[in-house]
Amino acid sequence: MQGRFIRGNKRLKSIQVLSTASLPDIIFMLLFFFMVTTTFKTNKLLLKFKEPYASETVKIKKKRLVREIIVGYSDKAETSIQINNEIIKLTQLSEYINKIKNEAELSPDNELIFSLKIDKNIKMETVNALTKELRKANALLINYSTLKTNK
Amino acid sequence: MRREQPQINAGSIADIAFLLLIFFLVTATMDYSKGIMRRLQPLNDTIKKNISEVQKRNVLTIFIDNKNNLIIDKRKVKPSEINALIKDFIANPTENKEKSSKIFLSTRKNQELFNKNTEAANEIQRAIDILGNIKTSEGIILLKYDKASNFETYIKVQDIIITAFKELREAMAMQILNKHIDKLNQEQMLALKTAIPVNIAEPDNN
Repeated sequence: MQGRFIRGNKRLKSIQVLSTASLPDIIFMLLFFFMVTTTFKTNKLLLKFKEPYASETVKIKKKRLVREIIVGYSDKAETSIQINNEIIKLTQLSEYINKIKNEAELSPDNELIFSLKIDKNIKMETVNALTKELRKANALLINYSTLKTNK
Repeated sequence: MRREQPQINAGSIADIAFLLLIFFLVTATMDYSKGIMRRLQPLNDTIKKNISEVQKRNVLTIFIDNKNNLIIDKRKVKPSEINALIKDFIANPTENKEKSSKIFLSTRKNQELFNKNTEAANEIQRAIDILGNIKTSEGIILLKYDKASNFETYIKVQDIIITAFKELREAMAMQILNKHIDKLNQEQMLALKTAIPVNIAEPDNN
């Protein structure tokens, strides 16, 4: 540790100074960590939803293949479906999914994963209709989004 | 005369880095999706046919009614009971004729070859190589629900079913491979999943 010496005394007093030369290195490391692990969320959250809990969950690894479909409650407490940034009706879902698939330009062995963020109080009638539309549009790989508990 | 070397003032690098870091902290999210992966059935009639072909003893029906009660065999069950019911149904240690039947992996492989599913047959062959020609269950879980039941209950049941199958696989790993399930390599894990597949059928609940 470099000390600064005060001149003028026979006995040199040294003030220990912490070297801050490595501080930028630490900060850069933290910065790179955040740059690598985080994503910029481009979708607005238009609906309110609370996910149900489950213990046997899997983390989706290929994040760029994930497309979100949110089924929640709008400000007027109506059940609504949001895809990308728009609220749509169930009948429009097929065409939106096909549009998303075409925009994705995937290689043949990659498949889009649709993450369904459904509020826990939504009736199964709605969920069933949703999955039926997904099957119609041949979007078969889905993930029911849940929060994790340790049962 | 000693010339002082010109130095770049490095004090501001830390400031710049701090600013960039704070920018990222504020704008970016560590957003990842966690949940239950499922592959939906394609929309055609072959699945409906298959359900009716399965023997009654090989189907365990779990029904969610409109008050979110779980009903098995016409009686209401508590979520905690379902785990034991599923494990008993699939494992069927006493070879009870009311519970699921078991067939050898080799028989399953021949069935797949008969249906020209060579990939599935190869997977079963790899399972035979790793686990031996064991008897595995033909049972499936049929999940039915009333239109007015909650999504929360549906997920809870899915969770219970997956947990039960996971415990069945853990037991098999301990029994046959003598290892804890977390210590298996990828091939062994795949063989285990082929031997005890999580078969959940959901009929078109119209």
